[in-house]
Amino acid sequence: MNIAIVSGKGGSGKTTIAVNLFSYLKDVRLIDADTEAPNDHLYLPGEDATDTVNKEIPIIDQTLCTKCHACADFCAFNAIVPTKTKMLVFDDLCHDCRGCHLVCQEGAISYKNHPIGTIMTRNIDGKPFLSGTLSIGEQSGNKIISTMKETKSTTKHTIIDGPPGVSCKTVETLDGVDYVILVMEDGLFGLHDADMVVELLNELKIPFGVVLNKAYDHVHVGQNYIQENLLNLLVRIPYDETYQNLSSKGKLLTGEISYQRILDTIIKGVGII
Amino acid sequence: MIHELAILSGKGGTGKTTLALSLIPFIEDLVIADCDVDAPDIHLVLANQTINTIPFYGIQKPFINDNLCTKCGLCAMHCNYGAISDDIIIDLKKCEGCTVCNIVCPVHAISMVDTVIGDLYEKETPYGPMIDARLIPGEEASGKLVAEVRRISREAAKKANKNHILIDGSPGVGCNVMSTITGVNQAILVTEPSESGFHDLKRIIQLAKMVSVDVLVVVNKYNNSIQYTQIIEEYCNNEGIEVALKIPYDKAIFHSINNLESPSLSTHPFFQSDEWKQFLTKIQVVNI
Repeated sequence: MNIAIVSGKGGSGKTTIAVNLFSYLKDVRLIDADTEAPNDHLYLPGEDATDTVNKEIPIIDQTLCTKCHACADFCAFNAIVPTKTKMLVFDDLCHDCRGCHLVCQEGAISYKNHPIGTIMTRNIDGKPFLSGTLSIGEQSGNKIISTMKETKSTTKHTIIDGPPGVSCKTVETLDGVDYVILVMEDGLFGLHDADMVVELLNELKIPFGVVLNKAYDHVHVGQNYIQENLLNLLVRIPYDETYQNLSSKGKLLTGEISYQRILDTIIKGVGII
Repeated sequence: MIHELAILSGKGGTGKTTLALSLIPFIEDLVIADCDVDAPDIHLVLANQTINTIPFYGIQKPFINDNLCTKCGLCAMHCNYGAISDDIIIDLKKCEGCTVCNIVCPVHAISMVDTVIGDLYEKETPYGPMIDARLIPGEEASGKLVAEVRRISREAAKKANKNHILIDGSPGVGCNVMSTITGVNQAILVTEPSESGFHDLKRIIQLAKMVSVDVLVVVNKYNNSIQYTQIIEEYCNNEGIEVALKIPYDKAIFHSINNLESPSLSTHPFFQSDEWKQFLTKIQVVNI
């Protein structure tokens, strides 16, 4: 079973659910797909093996180039800009579509690898953990996410910790998953941003359940939203200083009896066997 | 000259929007730009009226004319995003709009169509014009939508003769954030005292340095961990970056948001403190 954890609003508690669920389950692997702010590794120390992820960017042979700028006209991402003397390539804007060489009549365009980030692999108590990191200055970690997901796995389950928001990186995270755990922070912002995720999940037709996190006793906005929209509430986690303190130090919560019950409830609700 | 101030964080949920809402009443001559296009939240709290809604065409997407298509498979073979299946069905959510399928199709069965990726809104608030946007969930090219919010807010500033633009950004360091931070005069980086908050702060500092933007750091909920606050202060000190404000954790701040009030306008004592007043003097858009 492939399970993605997403939230809409940042800081809702995706990482905490992901690392603890991973530690608590057997026969599972974890993928940290929040490549712009990957934090799972802070909770799961171990020996690293690191691979580089590349995109292919064009190199233009200036001796063959006739400066017709067909490539610049073609590039939908403005990564090739014609100047009087040569075609300039902006590496960070290139989306790796490999189209520019198709329009070049002179055969002046070839490609070279350009690193966009890394995939770190750790073995945590015999369970595989992959963490993707987008290099600073790069635009998109989508290829890092898809590369991690394509990695072969012998485990029964995969948990994918996703990015906040509902942009293309979330779509990449959700591609091919069987179930989504939507972590919704209680409060006005948390539920508004989760609502955008609900719209996306309904469109993609992926089954999901909601974890209402940092739930406040007297503020019922989150609970009301879930009831009004007939969403499947997996579990309600109250705001808890002990959890907050341990998590902020990069510690797991699996030693807390009360948190084990929360994890059991999630596992049952999701139907992880 | 128009002066742009961006609020960013690296890690999500550290309090960017709460800080933006707290600053807004103190900035004269203001245009607000909410660049967190896939989780725009300022409009939820700040009273506003939409003057104009503008659909944003950020991308061209392919459509196949089934009468012409011979299912030869060339488009699927060339698509580097896996957006075209073997039976030539396009998954528009995966498409990045590169137009490769269009140029390789031997029978010209594919046309590229301008596609709306979100709506922009021109709004009026008690503190001046506000521009925000809502990405259609799952759409591509969110960085372009951010750039458009900034462009229209600069236009609005010129039109209304305003000199300051306050930008609320999204978490992360990717295309949305690069679109938000590039070319601003100053950025406030909001962090929280935790392992994750510190880790992600270092990444956004690195990005700010790369694009040569001056930064101030704000540690939110600092009393949740004095230890991590000190680690962050030491790090910033070594990097030559000022920690300009430390905001205590207080449920009252959270409640004021849920009551649709700017935290700094409530009776909360922190926003009457010398620390807050001193912080305002360091923000280049505040008229003192």
